[in-house]
Amino acid sequence: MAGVELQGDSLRALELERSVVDFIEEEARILDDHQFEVWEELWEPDGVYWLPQDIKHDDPEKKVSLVYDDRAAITRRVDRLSGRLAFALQPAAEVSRMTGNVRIAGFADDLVVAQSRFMMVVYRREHPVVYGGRVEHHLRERPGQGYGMVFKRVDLVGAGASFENFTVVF
Amino acid sequence: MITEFETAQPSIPYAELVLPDRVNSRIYTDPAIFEDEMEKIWEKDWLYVGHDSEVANRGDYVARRMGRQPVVLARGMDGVVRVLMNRCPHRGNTVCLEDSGNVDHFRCAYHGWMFNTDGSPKGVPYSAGYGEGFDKMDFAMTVVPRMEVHRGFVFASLSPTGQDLKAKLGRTYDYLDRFADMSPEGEIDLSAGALKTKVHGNWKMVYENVADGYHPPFLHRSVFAASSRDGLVIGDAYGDNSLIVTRDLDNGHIMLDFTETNRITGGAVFDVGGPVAPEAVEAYRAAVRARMGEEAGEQLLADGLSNVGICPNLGMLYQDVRVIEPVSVNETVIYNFPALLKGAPRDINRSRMYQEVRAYGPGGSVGPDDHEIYERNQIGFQAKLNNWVVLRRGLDRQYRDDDGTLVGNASDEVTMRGFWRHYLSVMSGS
Repeated sequence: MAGVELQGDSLRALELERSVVDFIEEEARILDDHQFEVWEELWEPDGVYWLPQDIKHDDPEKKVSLVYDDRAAITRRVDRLSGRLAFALQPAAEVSRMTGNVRIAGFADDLVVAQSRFMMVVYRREHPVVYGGRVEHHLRERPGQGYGMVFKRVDLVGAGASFENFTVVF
Repeated sequence: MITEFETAQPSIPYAELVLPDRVNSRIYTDPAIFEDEMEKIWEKDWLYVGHDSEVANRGDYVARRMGRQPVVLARGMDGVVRVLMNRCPHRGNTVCLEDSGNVDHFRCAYHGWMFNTDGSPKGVPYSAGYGEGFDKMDFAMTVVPRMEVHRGFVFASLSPTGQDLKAKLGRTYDYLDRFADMSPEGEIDLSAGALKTKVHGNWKMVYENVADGYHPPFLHRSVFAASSRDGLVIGDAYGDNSLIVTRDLDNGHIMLDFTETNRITGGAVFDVGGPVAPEAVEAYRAAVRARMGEEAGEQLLADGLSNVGICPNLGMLYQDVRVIEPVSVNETVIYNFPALLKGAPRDINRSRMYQEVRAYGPGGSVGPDDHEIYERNQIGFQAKLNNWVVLRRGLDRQYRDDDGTLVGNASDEVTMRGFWRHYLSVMSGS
């Protein structure tokens, strides 16, 4: 590649992709490290965090979702995860995840739509669990500070199954 | 025929394990007791199977279990809902390929036998191979011996004999009316599906917890803390001055009765699942009154909803319809269906939906703490020294209400004692 200089649209596309990958990897690190209050700051005021139960149904008012948090519910989730009051989270789970296969799927208004995949191992009370799935982030640029999340949809592999307690944020 | 194996089984001394004020841990941990329960409760009693709104159209089906046995709730082309064994009468394969769907007919994947959605035979490939006397009509999917429906709630029994559903439901019969009458059309809608959680705990704990008014301020303190910050004061709701009461409804049915507090707080709470426009609440209340009549409608709205357990596998907690599916002595699947109200303004149903999703299932703020308890209890039950579970709370202050039900304070164990009294009579055959 020596001698090839990226410029113009190609350079901007590469920079955009890099910044989105950085964001997704940073979010993963924050969640693995249980920094839930830092994670909350990544959310925009109109943020929605959604885990559908059935990939075929797109209306969270008509079909149950594994998680459907508006911004206020995200705060309550973070409170529960951060405090010492949630019995199901004592002891807390250990978790490590890989993110990848990131692609910029498009743009909507002021948002960047990014799709990615993840694999994670969760361990709690002598019990390891593996989760994987696809994620769609709708990101709003925060000038000079990366992105804020407006929408995060996680389609878990096997979302329709019966699960044991989720003790993590996906 | 009694086999040698069966006669060699020592009988289980239920009367020594289930006492009026305590039960022995073994009742939750012994696989032989679980097998005995399958036979005496889950294969005999009425069980809740599903709701007719889940199979609204001809050809709709949902695959379910009655205890461990696979069944399908299906609407035939004649519009009638039936409960069939989900089993091909040829070689035993399950005939539903998905958990739910809409089909013209069921087709067994193994050898292609086909059945109409009412269970009647539709076709047997190469049927000449069965000889001259063969009539495919002799090979229908088996319809469960008894099925009855009340307000869309489909109950079935695997036993051909026993009391009718109304007698079985007893004091909970009217509560199903109350639950459905909350809809402006008098019908609830369970077609949104269920959150599904697998827990490593015995099914009876899940049932008992439906009407346990002692645990919420302690186990669910994360929710109480958040609600206090949001301006809702529920911290002392279950204390000794609470107007909430526990009721033993007989037949193993139980109730954590919020009626008196609902009358003070204004009945059904709508804003937990997100803000509801005041106009939507007014429109909803007007619609309920229009259907029920002014006085009855107002009474219903004031009384609101409570927590009721219909023994052995159904719980109704505000908007939540909870189904308990025993898998083994230490494994249970819990289904949480949000009951939406047909004809209610969108805001009302959205609130009920998000209240359900945010409270229950594997990722909620309430259910997971309960699930954790079932699992830790199951571990604690392995301790064999002093292995009693104490259920005497409120024994000296319970009283008989005008309606004949035994009543205790919000935090009293009246409901557990009621469940266990029924359990003992069923299991010991007395």
